[in-house]
Amino acid sequence: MHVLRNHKLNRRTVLRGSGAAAAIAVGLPALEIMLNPHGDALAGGGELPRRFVSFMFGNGVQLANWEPSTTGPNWSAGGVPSLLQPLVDANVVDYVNICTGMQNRFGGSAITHHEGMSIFSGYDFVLRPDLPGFASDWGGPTIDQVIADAVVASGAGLPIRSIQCGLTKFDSPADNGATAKAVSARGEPGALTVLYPEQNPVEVWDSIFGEFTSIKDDREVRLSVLDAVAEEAARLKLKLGVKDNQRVDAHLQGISELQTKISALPPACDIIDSPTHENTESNGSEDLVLVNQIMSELIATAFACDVTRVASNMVLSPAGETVLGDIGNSGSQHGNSHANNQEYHDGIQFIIARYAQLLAALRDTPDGAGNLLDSSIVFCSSELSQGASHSWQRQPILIGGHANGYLEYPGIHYQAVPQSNPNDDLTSAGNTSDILLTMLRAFDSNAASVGGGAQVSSSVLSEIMA
Amino acid sequence: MRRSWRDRHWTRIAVVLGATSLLAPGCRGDKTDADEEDGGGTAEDSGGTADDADDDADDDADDDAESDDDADSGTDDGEDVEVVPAPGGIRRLLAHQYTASVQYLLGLAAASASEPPEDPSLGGFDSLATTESVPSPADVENYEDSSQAIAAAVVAEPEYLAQTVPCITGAQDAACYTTFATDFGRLAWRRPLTDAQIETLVDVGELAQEWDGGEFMTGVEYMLTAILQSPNFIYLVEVGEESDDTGYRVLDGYEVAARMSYFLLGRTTDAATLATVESTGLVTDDDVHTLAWQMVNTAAARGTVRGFYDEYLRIRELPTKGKDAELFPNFTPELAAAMRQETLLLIEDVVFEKDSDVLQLLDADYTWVNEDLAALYGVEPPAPGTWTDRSLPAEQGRAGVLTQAGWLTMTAHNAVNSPSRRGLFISEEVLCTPVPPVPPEVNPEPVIPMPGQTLREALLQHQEDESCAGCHALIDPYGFAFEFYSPIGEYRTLDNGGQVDASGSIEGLGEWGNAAELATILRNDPRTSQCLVNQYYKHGLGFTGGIDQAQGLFAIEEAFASSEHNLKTLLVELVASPLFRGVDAPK
Repeated sequence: MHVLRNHKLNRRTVLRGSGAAAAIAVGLPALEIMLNPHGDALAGGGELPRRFVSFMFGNGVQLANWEPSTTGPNWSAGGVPSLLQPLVDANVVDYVNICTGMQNRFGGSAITHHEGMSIFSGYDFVLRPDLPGFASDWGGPTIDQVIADAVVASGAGLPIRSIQCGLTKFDSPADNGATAKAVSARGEPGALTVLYPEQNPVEVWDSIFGEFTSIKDDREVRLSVLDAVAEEAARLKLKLGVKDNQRVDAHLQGISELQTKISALPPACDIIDSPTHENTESNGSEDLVLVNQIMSELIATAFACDVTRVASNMVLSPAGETVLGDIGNSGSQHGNSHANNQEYHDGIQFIIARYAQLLAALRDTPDGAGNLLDSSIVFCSSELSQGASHSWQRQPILIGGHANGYLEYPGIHYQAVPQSNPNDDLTSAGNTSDILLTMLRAFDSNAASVGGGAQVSSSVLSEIMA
Repeated sequence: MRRSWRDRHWTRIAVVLGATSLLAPGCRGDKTDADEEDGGGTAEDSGGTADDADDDADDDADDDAESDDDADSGTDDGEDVEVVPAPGGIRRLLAHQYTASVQYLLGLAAASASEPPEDPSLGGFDSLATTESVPSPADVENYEDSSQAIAAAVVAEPEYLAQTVPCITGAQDAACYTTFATDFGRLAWRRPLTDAQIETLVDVGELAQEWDGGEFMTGVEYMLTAILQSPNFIYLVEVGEESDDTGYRVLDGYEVAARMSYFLLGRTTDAATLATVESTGLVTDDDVHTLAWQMVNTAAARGTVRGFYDEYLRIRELPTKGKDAELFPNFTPELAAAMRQETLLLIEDVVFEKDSDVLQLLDADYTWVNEDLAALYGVEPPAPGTWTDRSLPAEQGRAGVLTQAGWLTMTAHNAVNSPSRRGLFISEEVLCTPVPPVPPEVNPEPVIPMPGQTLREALLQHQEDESCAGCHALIDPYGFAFEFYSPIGEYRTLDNGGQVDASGSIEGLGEWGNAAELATILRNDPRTSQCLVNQYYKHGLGFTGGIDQAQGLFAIEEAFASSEHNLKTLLVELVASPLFRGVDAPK
């Protein structure tokens, strides 16, 4: 299913009369002419680029319907758990490595739905007792942003560092702070910039492609305007304390990245038209299949155009209160998780079908001799294992994609420790941060560690590596 | 009922401490690290009443606040109070403040083109994020997009801007860029620009003019984008200057004017206020009081009061609130919009039309209805397309905003009520009495009533589990008072086939038979008055007050109470307070 129409841009229009401006040429896309004759490497011998997506969904799973009974390769021969059936239905199951029984070494004081979010960062959260309800902030950068740093450090010079999508708009009224609202945070512990998800497909399209569709080439003037703004920001810093200086520094970083984007040459690829669906419906009436399809195609096109190589998609926030009306649910996914009822089961299945939808969009997008799923890693998890018990051990972990031969294909089922019974979800072993380091190494082979405190990892999970 | 000064004093300390979670132990017996750091007590210590909280507050208050006698003289006798204002620094404009400022500066067409980044939310009031949110690259790009759209709209119709800078449509010479930067820049940045700042902007204008083949207005257009993207527009800069007299940093006249303008009017400092600053300095109490009273009597002030309650009561989220379509087929977008409008009309009526006790909002015996709402409440409908005030049916036990359909809808699930959410709101947001967090080890299985069993009966049965009762006994009694109303606020006497019981009691607060009786109790509880002051302070400055701000907040509440809870007085006294006109060291 393609819901977005390819729009072949007139390069003379898109290039905005590039000779008239002192543009800095960055971000040339991986065109076919840049590949070797086999399409499996760059013409100069370098590796094809890898891409990364974080896919987060709230309220956990039913472990009894999640963990395959068979481990290792060909795990599906032992039967596919009902919650994973969408991977089979979308014909992407071979691309998925499944990890079960792993330990999240979060070491702080738990507040129900926040601690498990550390599976996306490897850092304990920072409690926010000054905010209402359950509240915390990210304790360190999330894995998508650490990988984005690695892509920047590799000299890729892309126009956009990363993109952040969301799916449903309805989060938890009782959960606050950045941990509950976003799955991407960049920077260093103590000085993070939170990157909130955007649930409006039109806005996401504009952030990815809007810059390249302007018919007016005023880059020279815009760059000078931004220089003037940066000059003012630098003046302002002299009056402020440490925390506000960090905020202004982030603002200055944003200005610098915008100048990079303005200076970039437009991608030589087919840019899809802007979607028209804005995802404004009320709770229970959102068209989440459509929105997810659009978001998936936007990510795929951004990757194919090499505008960016990193994305995140927070489909449902921790303790998210969305009513999944697409499948006829009447209760919220959070409420259903505590009832542990059929609606909860169906809701999880629906969400995993959205994950499969993203994988399929990547699979269906050519990339060199293969497709984008061949070159990507799509990390999927939730803040809880079993939603009903608020446990953050044995969290669900799916790792989609082949990463250009870096990950096992067909995927395996790695189990750190078996369950003693289907509800014994506290049994766990290993360190979920090992998976983060494994994925980071695909982008920075010299990365020594990921995370901090009790969750830090300096070893990879070799079992899922090819 | 009016308590003694001593009771009121400690009650208010409890309210202020509660707002900072200093009373926040767990329902569980064990304490978190954060609890230890904050000096929190145990669940048994905290309880849910003011009297209990008094005990908790005692130690901290003895250390940090005035003694009884001191506090008494410091507030009742009108002497100076010891305050420590919120830290200085920068506050990012909220999206609606940004747009309202553009409308004042550049007109309606420009405001319509404005599209600033959405406000990040940390929970609670949006303003809490303005003091700490870090702009993302997407935000920075959004600010650029918005400035470009605004500038294009202005250039298309420059007449509004020409009222401030006539040469824009007049001479259009090189000197006009300097005039534009000087005059419009001063208005947009809320203070005069330095020569260096003016020069930088003029350079932008001249470059743009040259780039566009000498077109004068192109220079204006890009200068405008630079002005609107500047941190001097996007952020309120509030750093003040050190003062030996006060012990805290004192905001200068421009900073005070901007703070007042955004707090009371929701937009940037206007030309007349800037002129006042430049003629008087805006430093004396009389000057500030005079200006504040002028501001609260404007139409713009109505907007900010509506905005406060829209956010405080959560009713701004009604347009996207979903309800079970089979159970509530009458819950249409039009009805949801009417619910929101109903509450806002009552607020305007009490605060501005009648200029009366704002605590009436809690127990008013009338409301405003259109046809849809009249049908929902079962009262005589007004003429189609109109609104009118109607007495609430006495037999329904309704009184005030907490029995209006809007708040009831927002605090219910999509198919069933949530006495816990309603009770939590009353405890934490009306009384500023915090409720301990849910222990993580508890599995809050949803309560599903048996056939013929009411939700209340099922919840009380659920509370036989002690791990649940610790918290729910503090909040559910409030919520049960609203069981005569469905998840969209319709009146009912049966719930799941069982007879509704809305009676309840909370130790130290009182007993009630229905929501109207609870509303009267809440209105008369001294915590309610102090809590409203705290909420406004938090909403206005994006800072959750604590013990350091207690004396200042008490003084404001004294003046507020003395005015028979006139909301305009609260706003003016808050603005005139050292808490508002000073800052602590830049953060």
